[in-house]
Amino acid sequence: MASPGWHEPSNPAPSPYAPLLGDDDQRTGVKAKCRRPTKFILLLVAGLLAVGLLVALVDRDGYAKKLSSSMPNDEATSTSSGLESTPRPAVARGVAEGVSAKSNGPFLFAGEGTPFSWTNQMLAWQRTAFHFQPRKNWMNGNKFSPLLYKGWYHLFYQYNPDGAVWGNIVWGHAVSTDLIHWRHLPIAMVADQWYDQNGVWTGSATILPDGQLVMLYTGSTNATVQVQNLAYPADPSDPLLIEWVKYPGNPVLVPPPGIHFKDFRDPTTAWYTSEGKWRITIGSKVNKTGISLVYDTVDFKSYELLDGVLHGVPGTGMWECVDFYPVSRTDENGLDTSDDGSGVKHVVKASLDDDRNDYYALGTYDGVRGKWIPDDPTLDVGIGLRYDYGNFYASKTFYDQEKRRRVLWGWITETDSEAADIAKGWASLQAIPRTVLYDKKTGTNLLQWPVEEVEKLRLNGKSFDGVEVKPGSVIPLDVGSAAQLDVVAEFEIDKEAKEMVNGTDAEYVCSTSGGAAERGALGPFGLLVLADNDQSEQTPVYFYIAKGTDGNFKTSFCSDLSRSSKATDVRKGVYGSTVPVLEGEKLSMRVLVDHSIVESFGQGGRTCITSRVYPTNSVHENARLFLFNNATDAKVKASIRAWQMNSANIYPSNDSMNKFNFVVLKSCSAIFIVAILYGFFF
Amino acid sequence: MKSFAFSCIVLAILPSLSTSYALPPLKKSNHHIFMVREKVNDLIENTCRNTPDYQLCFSTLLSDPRSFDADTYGLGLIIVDALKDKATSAVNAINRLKGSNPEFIRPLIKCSISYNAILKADIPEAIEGLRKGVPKFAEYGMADTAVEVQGCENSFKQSNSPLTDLNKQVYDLSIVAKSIIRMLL
Repeated sequence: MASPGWHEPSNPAPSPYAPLLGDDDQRTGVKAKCRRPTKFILLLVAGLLAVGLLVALVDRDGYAKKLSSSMPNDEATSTSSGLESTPRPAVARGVAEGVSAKSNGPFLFAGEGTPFSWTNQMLAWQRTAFHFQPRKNWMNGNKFSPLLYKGWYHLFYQYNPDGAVWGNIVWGHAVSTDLIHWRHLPIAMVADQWYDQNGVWTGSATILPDGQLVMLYTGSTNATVQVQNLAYPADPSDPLLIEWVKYPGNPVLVPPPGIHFKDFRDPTTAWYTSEGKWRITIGSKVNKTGISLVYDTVDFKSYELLDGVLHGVPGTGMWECVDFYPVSRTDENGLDTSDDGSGVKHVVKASLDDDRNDYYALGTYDGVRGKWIPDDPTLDVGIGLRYDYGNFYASKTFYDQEKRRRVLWGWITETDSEAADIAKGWASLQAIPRTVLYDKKTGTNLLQWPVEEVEKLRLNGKSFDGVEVKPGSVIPLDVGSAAQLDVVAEFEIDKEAKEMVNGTDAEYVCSTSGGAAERGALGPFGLLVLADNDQSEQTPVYFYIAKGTDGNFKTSFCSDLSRSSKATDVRKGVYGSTVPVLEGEKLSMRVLVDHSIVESFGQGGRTCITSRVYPTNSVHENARLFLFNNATDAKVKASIRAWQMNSANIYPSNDSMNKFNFVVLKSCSAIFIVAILYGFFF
Repeated sequence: MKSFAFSCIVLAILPSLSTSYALPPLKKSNHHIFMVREKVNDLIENTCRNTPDYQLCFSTLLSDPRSFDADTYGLGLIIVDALKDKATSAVNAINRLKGSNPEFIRPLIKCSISYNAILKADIPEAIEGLRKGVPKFAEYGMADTAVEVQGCENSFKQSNSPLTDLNKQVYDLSIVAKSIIRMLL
């Protein structure tokens, strides 16, 4: 880990970036094949939308009454952009509390040159439109447990109600029926007992066969000892789970002998053993070996520690937010945490405190001994595969029993300065939830894909078929403003060139490569997102194919942030990893762009990269989408489908404004419907 | 039942595990104090050897009597406290410099913002993270301090910063603090 060196100030360079491509770029625009509806259909759809809107409003009104009276009414903003992609209101500026935070993570930015002067407008643009985040202040998903209860998805997250920095942590709470549109609920849990006085941290929920819900969470005691506590809903019939009760006999678990009292946290969801008991695992470490302890229980109040550990890996340090779940080797659906059998593989995932990345491995679970063995010891937990090669931590999965899928949800932190976060008034957010499946084709990895519900936000679909991208060219894709996008792209590289190219023994590693500007025979090629017209800022997401001396191909999937922003006080780097590509497969990627978030899924979700991007110029209407091919020897043929994305409006503006909008919108909808009916009959 | 009994035993010893870094001074024989101090000096010595700036770490810790009774969390807090003193001095210097030189107007605004983030966000985050046993966020705070102070320094043109000495001291302390905090992960 490189520490930043102290830099004496220097005169700023006239242009901080080398251009991605040389002067020989070929830039040709491509017109999309738009599916434009006729006026009649447009009118009909508008009418139907208006009716739907009204129904939705009435329905949500009913739901809103369930919320605490202190909750702002954000119905109006939720729906006002239902017909069009409207600019979002500016975020409140200036945090009175003056507390902010973020994280450069363990990898320090070392800034050179004159600091960038952020404007409020630029900072306001960074707030996301369809990702979950609190209205303001700091959140970290580090300690949360998603779950589905009586038709509602619940998110409990670590929240600082007092500022945009980590601290004063309580459990924030939000609910949704589709994992995309969220409602903020009152704080679910605070530190008010001796056994959680220094923190109410990670919890995991288990739904018992009779429908009861129990929550185990880590508390930091008045002596900062990490213990596990039990909590449950005060009113199990309340689908919103507003009130929580802490078990009077807490704590139910304390650190066992040999475990440091600050290394005992993050209990998992429980699963059934063949003996009919519940089993959980809890992350820890012994010296520098990350481990996960295993406990059996029948009532969640008293526990038996199993001999040994579920698994441990030397050199990986503290395991946080351990996750353990089965994936089917045969079926397309997710599995309940207790499912087991011959058609099943088990995943162990740990969040490494040492490097703040989420690692997983596939393996076999021995339920009798309470042990798990990796399929490939060289790809063990913490030394092998990552869920995501960008900015993604403390994720957890839950089983969605209604849609029979396993959903993974991770936390994305900021990579700008805390001074910027103070100005923004918020920091950190949740990634788009992903379904997780075993990759039956490769047998070596998981497939992660944005939950299908996110597709409901798609607007203005455009497609570009068979676009030929010559070596060293950049092609604008006319999709309009590209600050909120869902893009699916397929690439076919020239077969002849692939064969002609000489293999080398040079290894390509995204993070140590020269990024998208480093030209090879067969790459990089892909998309430029959040790029302005002259690409003074750009975030390439791309494939790079390396041919070995043995004639085999190895494909990398990367995201290059080095030209993503003119600002000097944000973290930039090249993220990514190799991605398995099987014989006969086209290269494919999906990219979700939501202002300062870029989530990229390579080859159906075999390799994923989440980036925080803070452009200064490629914002609002200046944000564009381009195709590029920076290979020297091969042309590629690309087919793209792109949609602008509607806002999910998770955050409201202020209460009174919302109420006003709500009334106005309802009235307008009613008038609109009357007008249509009038036109129809007369 | 076994685990219940075990829980009771562990709970009984919990208070003895308390990590308060500001323990009351020892009132035992001089010999005992000497022994304890020697042992603790080992902790200071070993901790500082594992930071990038042994001299700064060692001298800062030795100048604070709390160091002799502190564990590694406590040593981290003492460095953060020293950093806080320097950052406060920097804010005073910024206020004194206002109006002194037209060229300093913009840089000093930037430095006010930087030191506001350091004093109101980074340092409280580091202190709370260390006190509550969450070194991860303490590290975030110190990592950002290095970013902020570099931003302040770089806002002056042509190396004419009147704050170089203080900025450098804050920066160096943030690096030491960060490396001690990483020992706690």
